[in-house]
Parts: sequence; C-alpha cells; structure tokens
Amino acid sequence: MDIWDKSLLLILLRRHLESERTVDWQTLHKRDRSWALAQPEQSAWRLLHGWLQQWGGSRVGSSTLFVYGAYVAALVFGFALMAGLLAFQPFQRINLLWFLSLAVLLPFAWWLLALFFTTAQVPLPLHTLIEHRLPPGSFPAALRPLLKQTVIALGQQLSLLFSIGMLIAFLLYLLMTDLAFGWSSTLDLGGGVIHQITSTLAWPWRTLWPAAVPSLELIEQTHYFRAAPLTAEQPALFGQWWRFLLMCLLIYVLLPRLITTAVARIRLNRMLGRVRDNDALISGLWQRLTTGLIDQEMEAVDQREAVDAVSETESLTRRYGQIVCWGLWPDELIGPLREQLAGEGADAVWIELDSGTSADEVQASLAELPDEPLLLLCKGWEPPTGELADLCQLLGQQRSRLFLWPVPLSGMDEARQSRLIQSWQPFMRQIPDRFHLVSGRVPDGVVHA
Amino acid sequence: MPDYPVMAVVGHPNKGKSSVVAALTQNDQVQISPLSGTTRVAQHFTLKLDNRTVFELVDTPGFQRAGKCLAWLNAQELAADQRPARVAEFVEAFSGSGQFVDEVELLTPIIRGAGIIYVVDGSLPYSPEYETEMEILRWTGRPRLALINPIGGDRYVAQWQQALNQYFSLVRLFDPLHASFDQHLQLLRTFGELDAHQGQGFAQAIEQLERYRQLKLQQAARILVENLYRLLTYQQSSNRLEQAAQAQLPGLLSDEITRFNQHLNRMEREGQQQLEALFLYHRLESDIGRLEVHQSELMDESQWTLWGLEKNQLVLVSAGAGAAIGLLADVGLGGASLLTGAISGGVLGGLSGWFGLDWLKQQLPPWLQFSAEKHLLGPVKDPNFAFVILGRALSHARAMLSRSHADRERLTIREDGLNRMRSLELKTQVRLLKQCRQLVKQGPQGQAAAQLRDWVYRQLTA
Repeated sequence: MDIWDKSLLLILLRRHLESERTVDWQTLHKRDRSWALAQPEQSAWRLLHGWLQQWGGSRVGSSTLFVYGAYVAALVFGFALMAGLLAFQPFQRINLLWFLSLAVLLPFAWWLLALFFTTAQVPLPLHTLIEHRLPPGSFPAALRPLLKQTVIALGQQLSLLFSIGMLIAFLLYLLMTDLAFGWSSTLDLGGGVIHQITSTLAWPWRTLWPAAVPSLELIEQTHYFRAAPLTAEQPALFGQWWRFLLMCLLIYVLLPRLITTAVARIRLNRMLGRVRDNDALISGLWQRLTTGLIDQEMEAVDQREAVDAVSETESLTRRYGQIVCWGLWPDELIGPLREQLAGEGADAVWIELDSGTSADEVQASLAELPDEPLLLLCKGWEPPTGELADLCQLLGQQRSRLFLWPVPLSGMDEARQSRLIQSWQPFMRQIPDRFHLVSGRVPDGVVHA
Repeated sequence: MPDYPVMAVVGHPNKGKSSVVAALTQNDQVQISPLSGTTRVAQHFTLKLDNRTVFELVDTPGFQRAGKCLAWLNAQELAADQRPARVAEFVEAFSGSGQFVDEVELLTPIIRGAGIIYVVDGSLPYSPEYETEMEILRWTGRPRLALINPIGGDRYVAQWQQALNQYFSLVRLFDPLHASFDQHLQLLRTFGELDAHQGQGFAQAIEQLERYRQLKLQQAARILVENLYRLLTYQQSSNRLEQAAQAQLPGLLSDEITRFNQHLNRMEREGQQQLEALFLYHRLESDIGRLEVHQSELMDESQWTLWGLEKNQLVLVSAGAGAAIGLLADVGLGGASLLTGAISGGVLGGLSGWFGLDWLKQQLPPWLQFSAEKHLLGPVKDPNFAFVILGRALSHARAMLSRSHADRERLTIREDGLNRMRSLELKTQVRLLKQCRQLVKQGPQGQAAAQLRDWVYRQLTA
C-alpha cells in the first residue's frame, strides 16, 4: 500500500469512526477484535484497510489510478515542455537564455515557492484545492495537517516526475538530433556577463566535470544575431553547450526536487505513523484490533423484582400481652429493651426464640398463653430472612393480633436506617396479614452499644 | 470442573454481594438493589480474554434458612472428611424441591468447585447467628475468603475481623463503592493466594487487566488532548451577521454567542461521553456546571477569502509574483542590478496586493465562485481558556476513574479544576500554556500534542 493510499485510508477511517465516537468501548472492542482474529497475518495498513472495506470503504485503492495517472501526466508534461523548447524551431539555434529561463530558472523558482509554503507554516488553500474533491461529508479537522503534508508530498513527487520528463526529453533529443545552442539578446550584454552567469551556475560541478563549464571562447563563438547570416565554420561548437545544460538540469531542477521529494515522503510517512498511533479515534481502533479483548460476560437470568411496597405502620404501645424476641441479641442491646417493654409495670410475657428453635418448641411455648396481642421483635438493621417468614407463619396460626417491630439500631444515620427498614415493607406481603408493622425509635433509656 | 478459577460471592442477604461483583467485573449493569432478597438465582459473571475465560464470579442469593440447613447437615454424625459430600447431598436432596431454594442456589457453584468469598457489612454489629452460615461454608471444604464491606461505615469492622478470623484463612476490608483500581487488583491477588492451584490464572488476569488499564488511560489522554484542540480552535462562521444591518447586530451577536456556547458545551460533553464509553460507564450523569465564554473573550472578525486565500496570503502571493518578475529583469541585466528588480518588484507587488484587494473585492463579478465573505466568532482568545478546559476535563476524568462500577449515584465533579491547574508550579503552568498555543498551531499530531498527552497521562495515573 503506497503512502497516498495510506493517507486516504486514514482520512476515510477517521470519517467513519466519527460516528462511533460515543459508542461503548466494549461493544466496539468485541466487534473489532473478533473480526481481527479471523483475519490472516498481514501488515497493519492492510488490516486497517480490510477493516474499512467491511463498512463499504472501497474508495481506498481507487486513489492509485488517480495518482499513477497524475504521474504519467507529469512525465508527459515535462517531456512536452522540453521537447517544445528544443524542437519548436528544428532548424534554428536554441537560445540559451530562453532555455535557462524556462527549463531551469522557472522550475527552480517554483521549487523555492513550494519550499516557502512547506516550511513557512503558511496554510495552503486546502479547502479550495483539495477538500471539495474528497467524498462528501465533513472533513475531519484533526487530520488537516495530514492532508497538508500529503498535498505537499504529492506536489513534490509530481514535480520530480515533471523534471524527469524534461530530462528524458533532453537526453533523447541529444541522442537523436543535433542540437545547436547559442545565445542571443537584444541588449548588448557581452560575453563577459554571460560568462559570469554561467560560471556562477557551474560552480557546483566545476571541479567534478570541468568540461561542463563553458569557456569565454565558447560563449563568444556561440553568440548569434537574428539579422546576421548563419555561420557554419564550426557547427560542432553549438553542440558543446549540452554538458553545461545537462548539469544545470541535474543540479538546479532534478536534485532539489529529489531532496525535497525524499524529505516530504519521509515526513509524510512519519506523520502517517503518528496519526495511526496517536489520533484519538484511529489509534483507538488500532488498539481494539490488536489488544486482547477483556470482556465481562453476564449470564442472563430473571432476578426478583424489587417491590417498593408500602405497608401501614403503627406506633409502639405498651399493650402487648406477649413479646417474642427473635434472634440472638447481645445483652447490652436486649437487656434495657426488655426492661422497658416487659419490665416492672408491664405485664407482657417475654419469650426468646432463634433460628435453632423448632416449630414444636414454638408451639409449646405459646400454647399455654392466652390469645393476646403479640409483639415480635426483630433486628431492624438486618434484612428479614426465610426463617423469620416461617416463624411468622407459625405465629399467625396461633394469634389473632400480631405486631412486628424491626428494632432500629441507634447511632445509625436516618437515611441508612430508613433504607434498611424499607426492606421490611415488601416482607409484610410474605407473611399473614394479621401482622402489623410497627415503626418507631427505641424508647428512651435504651442505648445500644 | 472448569480449568479457570471460579469464586462464589455468598453471604447474608443485602450485604453488598452484587456490589462486590459489579466492582470486580467493572460492570455497572449488575443489578444492585437497596432492598434485600432481590438476587433470587445465582448469576455467573465471567472475565474473558479473547474468548478464553480468565475467571468467573458467581453472585448468589443470601442465606435464608441457614439454621435449618445446618440442622439438616448435622442430622448425621459425620467425620470432617465426609462433610463436603453431605453438603452435596443437601443440594441434591432439595434441588427443584421448592425448599431451601436460596441455599441450593448458593451452594451449587461451591460444591462444583468454586472458591468462597463471604461478604459481611462492617457498619453493622456482628451477631452469633452468622456463625451458622460460616459453619455451613466450612462444611463445604472449599478455600474461603471473607470480605468486610463497610457500606455505611467501619464501626464494627474490628468486631467482625475477630469473628471472621476463626472461620476464614483470609479476611480483607473491601469497599466496592470506593475501591480504586489498584485495590481491585489487590483483591484479585488475594484470590490467587487463596487457592494455590488457581494462583497462576489470577496472576495472568491481573497482568492483563493492568495492561488493559494502561492502554485505556493512554487512549483517554489522546481523547482529552484532541478535545482540547477542538475546543481551542472552534470557530463559528455566520453569514447572517455579515448581512445584517448595523442596528440589528447587537441582538444577533448575542444569539450567535449563545449558539457558540451551546456548541462548546456539546463538544465538551461529547469528549466526556467518549471517555465514559471507554471506561464502560453506561448510566453516568454528572453535575458539572456549563462552560460559558463572553463576547470579550472571543475573536470576532470578518474574513474575506478569494480562491481559498485570506487577504494576508493574497498579499504574500502578490509580493512573490512581483519579486519573481523583478528577478527575471535582474537576470536580464546579468545581475548588474544587484537584485533591485526582485526587491522593488516584491515591494510593489505587496503594496498593490494590500491596497488593491479591497478595490478588487468590489469589482469581482458574483459568478466568481471562490470568493466569500463571512463573519467569524472564535476561537476563544483568552489564554486561560485552555486551563479551564484542561482543568474541567481532568476533574471529570478523575471523578470518573475513581468511581466504582457499583456506584449508582450521580457523578459528583469537584469544580476546582481550574484552581488545581493554578496550583501547579509556575514553570509547569508556563510550559502548559506554551504547549496549548503550539497545539493550536501544529494540530493534534504535532510535538506539543504529544507532550500534552504525556502530561495528561501522568495526571490520570497519579
């Protein structure tokens, strides 16, 4: 997958992932990881490409045709420009000044302009140039730097191919035809000025290839005038310029482009990696594809509905004939309570039962007592259990008026207490309706530990 | 018997068994009710890595008839080695009979090989009645761990510890509502200690969970920084303002600023929801106040563009073109002009661009498609805005990360995010402000974004 496809892939991925921004991570991870595990071993980019394809992102890859078309067009344009310069007038001398301006200076100036836009942090008019050509939908603003870098790298690449096209045409014409270069200007420049310019231009290769540095003699001998008759004493002289021009093309046109193309491609490649690894959405996808899925699976079961039943409650009085204390209570809790409810002045019978007491024992302890109101004391801070429900059933058969008091734990905050007592409300529906729920605080004087 | 560890969470009704399961599996969809007895059947929660079960927790109903159950077990005189079989016999005898429904449900996973996590409430007093339940669990012969859950306080924790130590080899205090991620992992390590055979499985699970958490925190840092970038660079364009008459402007501007604020809040909430989705909070409602900026804090300007270029860019292009033409003239003179042509061409081009563009703006025919004039509101120019955003985002993230999945209350966010940012070292503040400015320039893939991500990650893990 080439870098252009990678760029397009990231842009399209990001566009697709925008819609999943707030979807539960676990759902996405489950989906993406199970898809990734079913894929054969392949590169990261292929994997991302494959992932997008399953959502109809088939546009990735279509850029290849466009890019290769553009490559060919750039080559052809470069070739055509050079061919035009060299063969526009096949039987005339080619004016060096004209050639240098169009084939060397102009591409070099264009390269400088591109360098300015690339390095001076000047925003490219991206929206006008590129974004309206992209598939419909809002362009992800977070990827604007990637798009800019892609445009820069593609521009450099096409310019490089344009230069190569020029070079190929130049070499072909050198080989196939006899090119006659000379120089001519309406201004009286003189050979010295031209020599100065060409010597400056030839400075980078003067030691490497001295033959490609034009001499003053050559410059003077190849000076021609349109109005003067053609001189044919030394026609080979007019061909000697090719070395200099070839080096100009190589050093001022091809080499800068080669360097900037390489740099732009390296920068784009790095940015592609950065986007894949750091973009909040794309890196998230990458993480989901490559990280083992830790999943919590919950078995679907039908739990009991929490019934918010409300039973009528009565206040605590002292009119109970019998008081049954359910459970094992610490003495410091039950002692003062017993004192208050069944102590001196109160005629209530005090019976203590717990989960170890059998039904027969319960019946035996109540059988000899009259059918008087019975108060059942329970720990209000503990939830009611099935064993208590069983006891209530048994008591319901023995007595006609029953009171159930979940004794609150003193020292506990009101909110917690009321939540705990709440559990007793639905419990009242499970026991005989002879039971009345008593609510109330522990009488004064009873202080729990 | 499965080849992975299974732990049954058992206990008296309404002691927070489901909360423990919700916290340990990081699953806020576990049904938790303040009313007792809402768990009727044992429910299995498995933690899987790539479809391979790492461990399983079983949320069970509470003991309802522990006394009768123990009485049934004690009906025969048995040696200690025969007790587990007796418990299995109990389950077999009453399974499907309609009696001891809750006991059968909670003992079934244990006789199938599950370890035991016995949960008690440390805010309520210990009672000897619990010994019945603990005795039944001892009969099963399975490895046992007791968790004291201080749901409403730790008043009776010491009392519980003394009692539980007699029945359980390991006793731990664990608050499912407030336990940090590290405390969760510590508890899992304890499970490993409980059963040497299963220790390896838990160690692997812990390693995976730690790695997973780290990746998620890195992802959270990316989301926070990207959202910061979106908010810092948000611009709202309006043709309405440009076309409105001078008299209508104040009213319209106030509407536009309200719209701007709404959009900022929507973007901020989207970022928060993205984080909540990442950490699997499905029902989170937070009480964070609204973000609000005022007109004085906003960049507010008209912008005219031609072929996508703003005026200063057009001036640059014009100056460049002038310089290029001048340079050609210099070349024509063989450099004798010492670049005077290029310099004067550049200056002339730049000046004509600067003064001529406004004239050109009037002359352009309407069919010239790429010419547009719009009124832009934003981005927020106050440098403190970046601190406000970062502070709020970190407050939300911290509140969310420290929240247990067993917590069903609204997410309370301390509104002191900005103060916390201001309490940072001056050097750090200056560095952060600089990085925020660079973030706006370089975008979320730049170096400043990477530095900010590192900083945010450290804040989240601190």
